[in-house]
Amino acid sequence: MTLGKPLRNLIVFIIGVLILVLLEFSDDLSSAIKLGLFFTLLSLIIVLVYFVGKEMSPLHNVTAVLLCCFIALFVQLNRVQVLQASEIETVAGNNRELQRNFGQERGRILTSDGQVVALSEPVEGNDSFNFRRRYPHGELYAHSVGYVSLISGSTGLEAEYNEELTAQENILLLDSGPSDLVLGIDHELQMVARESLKDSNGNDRLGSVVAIEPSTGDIKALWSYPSYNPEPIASLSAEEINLAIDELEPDPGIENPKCTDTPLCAKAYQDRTVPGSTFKIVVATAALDRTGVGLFSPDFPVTDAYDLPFNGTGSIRNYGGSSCGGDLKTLITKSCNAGFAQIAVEDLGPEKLIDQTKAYGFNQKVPLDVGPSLVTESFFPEDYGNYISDSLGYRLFDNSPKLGQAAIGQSEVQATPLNMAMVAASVANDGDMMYPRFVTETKYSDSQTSRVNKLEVKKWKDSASRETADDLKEAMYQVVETGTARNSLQIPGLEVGAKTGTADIGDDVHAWVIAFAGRPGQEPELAVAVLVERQQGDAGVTGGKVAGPIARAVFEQYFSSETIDG
Amino acid sequence: MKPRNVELLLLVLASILTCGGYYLATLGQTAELPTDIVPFLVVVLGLLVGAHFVIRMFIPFADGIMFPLVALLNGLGYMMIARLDPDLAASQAAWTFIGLFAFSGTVIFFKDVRFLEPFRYTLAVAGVVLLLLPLIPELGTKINGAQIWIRVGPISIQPGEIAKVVLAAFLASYLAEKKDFIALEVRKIGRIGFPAFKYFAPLIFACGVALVVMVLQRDLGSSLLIFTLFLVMVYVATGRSIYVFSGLSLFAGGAFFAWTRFNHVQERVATWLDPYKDVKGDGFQISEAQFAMADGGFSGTGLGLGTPSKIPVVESDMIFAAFAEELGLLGASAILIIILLFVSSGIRIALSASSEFERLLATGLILLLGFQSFIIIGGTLRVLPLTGVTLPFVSYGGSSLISNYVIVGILMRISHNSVVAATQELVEGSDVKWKVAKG
Repeated sequence: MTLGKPLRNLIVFIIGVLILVLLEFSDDLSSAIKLGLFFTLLSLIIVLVYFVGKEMSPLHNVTAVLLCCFIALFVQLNRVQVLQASEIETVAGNNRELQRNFGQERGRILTSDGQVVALSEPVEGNDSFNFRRRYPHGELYAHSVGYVSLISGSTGLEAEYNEELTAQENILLLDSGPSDLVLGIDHELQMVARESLKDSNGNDRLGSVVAIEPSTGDIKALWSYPSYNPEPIASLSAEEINLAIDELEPDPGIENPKCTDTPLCAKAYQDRTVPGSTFKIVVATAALDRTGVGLFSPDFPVTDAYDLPFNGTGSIRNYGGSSCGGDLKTLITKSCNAGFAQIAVEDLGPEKLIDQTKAYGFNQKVPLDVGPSLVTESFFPEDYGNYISDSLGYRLFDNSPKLGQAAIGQSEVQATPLNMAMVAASVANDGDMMYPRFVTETKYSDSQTSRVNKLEVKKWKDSASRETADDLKEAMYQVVETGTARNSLQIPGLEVGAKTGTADIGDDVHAWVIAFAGRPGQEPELAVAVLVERQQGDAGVTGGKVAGPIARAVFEQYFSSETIDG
Repeated sequence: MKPRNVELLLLVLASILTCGGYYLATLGQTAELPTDIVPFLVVVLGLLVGAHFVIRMFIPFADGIMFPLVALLNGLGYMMIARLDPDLAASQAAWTFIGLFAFSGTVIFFKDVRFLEPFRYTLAVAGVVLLLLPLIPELGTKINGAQIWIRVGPISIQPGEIAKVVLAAFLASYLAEKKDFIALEVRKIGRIGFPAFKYFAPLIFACGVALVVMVLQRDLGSSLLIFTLFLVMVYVATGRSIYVFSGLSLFAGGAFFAWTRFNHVQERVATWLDPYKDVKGDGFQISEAQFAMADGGFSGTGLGLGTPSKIPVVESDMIFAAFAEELGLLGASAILIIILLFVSSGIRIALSASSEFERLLATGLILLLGFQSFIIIGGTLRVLPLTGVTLPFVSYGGSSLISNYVIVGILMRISHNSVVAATQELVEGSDVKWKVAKG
């Protein structure tokens, strides 16, 4: 008995498919299926060899075996070079990519005013590595630039822009090779941000300062304390690196360590916390854009508290027990908690507020150019239970009281300082929220040519209509003129708009301010968010008193240097 | 087209490929154009065309594809060695020169391969003696843990490379004479028949001694190769698959025994299964090879632009990984295909050989090279545990290059002689004489 040729070919085909299935899905298959497949394969091969072998000369058979051996080589070659290549590239001890990074000069990273914050320095007498990475400003830029390390990988812009920084010189394309990155950050401004976050005795305070150019999304300063020095991590000695990493990593005694347990955490965009009254800008946007509430009408009752629906859910009280009320502009100026709780519960309801928080980038990864995966989402609760009735004159839900809490930036609401800076920036930019970015351009130059590649400015969100943004600006200017920021943010020669926040976290408070500033009669040129964390609540700490002066220092520096420049 | 004209055309193409690769590798490495490219091309072309005219004069009817394929493998290998280490390249060039002379000598003086046939026992003894040479104190030296070298003046020679050819000749001659006796079943146990032991004894003795010597020298790759050669030739001569299966079971038993007893065997197997466990130690060479090949990806880093020198012994055992890194899946597949084409041209020669001895010798020699390529590439790719043998014609190494050129000389001589014999038969069997004139 012999097998017909078509049948033989079919068997060969089935064997091939089975081999591929076994090879490629072997990790996902259960062992029973794997065994089954294996034995089917084996019996098919035996059938084939038996019937084919009988017809062929021994030399043909040996040749066929050798051919099978070469097919195995070819299959394995495909696996090593293509299918499993990325897996092999990440095997511990495979430092080929790193050697590429350290074997050639890497592009520099510069601030907008030309300060070098990362560069490759030639090393003498090291066999494997010709360069080491230096970070002349240490901790000042760690949270944006990150590091590139021999044994602990890379992070931040060093990781995200690796391709630009390491581009191979291609001899066929004349101008190619590693590019420099130019940041939007202004070095002087960054230093002011760090200095002003310290208290009057020069001690560091926990917190973040973020400054953004509203029209472009360029980050002009980003500082959060604590930070870390990337220099030892970029060292060429494994010992030194491990020592530095051990020191920075969270205490192994901590269960489920959080981002904030290590200075590696860029709190400005990796840690979210209660935004307090700064969140009222979001609620006010929703009210202006999505309901009939205007800046000057209706008037909300003058009261010291808003009673939340349902018995026993308590009430939302104004700061310090004061009474206030009036139109929306007044509510913003005086930061009336009761009025905002009422707007959220009665005028807005859950859906509109949820939509508005989304338009400001909450519950999403902000597309920052250090790689969105590094960024922590701001959070706004979305579950308010079932609709009950509108017997009270507004749409009541199971969890409407939570909405009242959320309206003043308490309860479960959490925001990153970066996100709140973007809120201020988008108000200042006619309601358009831009993609935030550290890197504004990449620059390639060699002895002959120099090529600047300006990165595209892109709009991320329509946060508010232009009219609403204008209304909000007017109200925020009023906050500085007569409201909660009047003592700290009135700067001669500048028009400043702001919203303060003092968020309760147990006994302590977070002091917040979001603000923007420009020359009188012109569009705002810089938006800022400042968060000073964990201030003792009893000393009359408010966002205006503690965070306001920091924002002021940033504005003063920014506009003074601008005057000098131009 | 006539085989010789095909050969000439293909040789020109092989020279161009070799020189193009050399040009790109130099450009990639130094970012400068090589200054010696024209003399290089002239030398390569000169050598190959010279050998071609030897073929044209002495064995005009030989297969026309084999020599260009060998030239291409040798040329690409030289190009890679030159890119890896210019010092080695100089001596590889010298060895290539000597190899081509050995090839020409084989072709010119080995008029009839069958003259070897009566000297079967001399061949067996010669093979074993050649293998034993490195064990002689003062003469033998140890390189990379294997005692398989002898030093003659300034040069190291691997007599084992020649011994493989000699042993293949012994097997071919012995089997050609005794294959019918070996195929005969004199004893039956159950349904399986066994041959008379006395006909098997010389085979087992010669190969057994060779194997033991190689294992003692820690040359696992060569012992695996000799064993494969033995099985394959017995099978091809007798057509009895039972010998293959018994041989394989013996091998499995022996391998298992070696694995339980010998540390260095266990080490090999462990690094084969999981090379990444000890990336800096035992698994270093094989891991670096995997890293290099993965780095190459689909289209490679480009000639001269990768870092294959990180792999230990990359110029000989691991040269395939260097190609895979710099030329990628595309280039490495091309190398595999060139080797396959080369093997298939050898198999064709074996199939058309005019005598049983020549058929078996050609079979043994070409399969030797085929399986040798498989063993070393398989080791590089982790299809098999890594055992150090050279990749024929590609790897750095004088002894292997010379003995491989001798093999190609023998194969092409067999090819020519079989065409001549077939034509003579044709002339004797019919009156159509013009066919002879056409060749």
